[in-house]
Amino acid sequence: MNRIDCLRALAPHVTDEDLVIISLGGTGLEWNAVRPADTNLFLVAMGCNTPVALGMARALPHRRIVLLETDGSLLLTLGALATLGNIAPPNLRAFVFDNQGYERVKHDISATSGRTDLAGIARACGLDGARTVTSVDDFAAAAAQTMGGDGLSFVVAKVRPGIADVPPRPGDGLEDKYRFVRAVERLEGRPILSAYRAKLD
Amino acid sequence: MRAEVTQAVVDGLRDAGIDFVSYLPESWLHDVYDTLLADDRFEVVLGTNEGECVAISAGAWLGGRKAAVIFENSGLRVAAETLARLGIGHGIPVLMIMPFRGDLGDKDWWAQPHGHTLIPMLEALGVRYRVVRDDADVRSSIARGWETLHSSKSPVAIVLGAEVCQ
Repeated sequence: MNRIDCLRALAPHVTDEDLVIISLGGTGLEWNAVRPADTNLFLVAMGCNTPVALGMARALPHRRIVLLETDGSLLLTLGALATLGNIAPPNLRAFVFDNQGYERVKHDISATSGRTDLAGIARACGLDGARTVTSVDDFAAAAAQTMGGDGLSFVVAKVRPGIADVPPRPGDGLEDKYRFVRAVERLEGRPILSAYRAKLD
Repeated sequence: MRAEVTQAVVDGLRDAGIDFVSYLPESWLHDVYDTLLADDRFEVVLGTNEGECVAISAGAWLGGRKAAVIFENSGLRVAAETLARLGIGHGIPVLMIMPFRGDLGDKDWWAQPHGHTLIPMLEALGVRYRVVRDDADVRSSIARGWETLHSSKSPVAIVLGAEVCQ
């Protein structure tokens, strides 16, 4: 299955009240084409997406956090699954788009092209409902079920390598950060970037 | 660590308004961890490596939480990729508190790499930092570090020198 078809199946379940953390590469380009929003945080930071989503889920326990992770990024921080299993934030919905390679650098294999099973690792870390889907229909059903339900979820989608013909995404990491945090401020109705004054002597 | 220094670290976190801490344990700050874990004013998350801890607290900051990270200074090397990506690439800051293992006078041979690499790593990563040498400066340095983090959007490290940790 193609990743963008999964993203199109997921998009109707994502609301303007949700915050979406998106891993780098084709996943970000395609998600931006499918559902552009200020509430998207595009992190060009291998290995950071899952722990950032975990921290955000704990900071905003009343708000749903959607994580669009990739196999290469998650493989760099497998320990984050151990933390995720222990903390188990009920407001986090994780989707891993596993193309079994590092396509942005034109390398067509990752560990998951071999025997590595990310959903299996996640289950062993305590994410009991973690599962792998291999068809768009199964992904759509998993998205509907997890986005419509309560509790932490973890779905691995085995997708075909390749990036859909979508426009490039303008901007840089700093702009993305400011745009996203301003969106969080609007949603939460309180300042984040200018709120703090420490107690100094 | 002496009880008054442990309390100064906790008071400094409170002065800064910090109520979320991710961490990996180490020996010099052991009492700080125990104190934070026993204090329900703090949410304390145990990570599996220092890069992950930095990313967890960065995510909490993005959500509006006042968050810090505590780990041994050896962990700065592990966290370097995360700090470069999030700190320099995205301007997402985090406050780090760490002991200066390998500082002058540290008797452990295995701590020497931590002493050699700490300052060059902080500077290479664009981390604003202060090495605290006096007990009386611990509490205020943490609050001041948070203020600089917020005004600069840069990562900040409060490094507790051997004099205050031992």
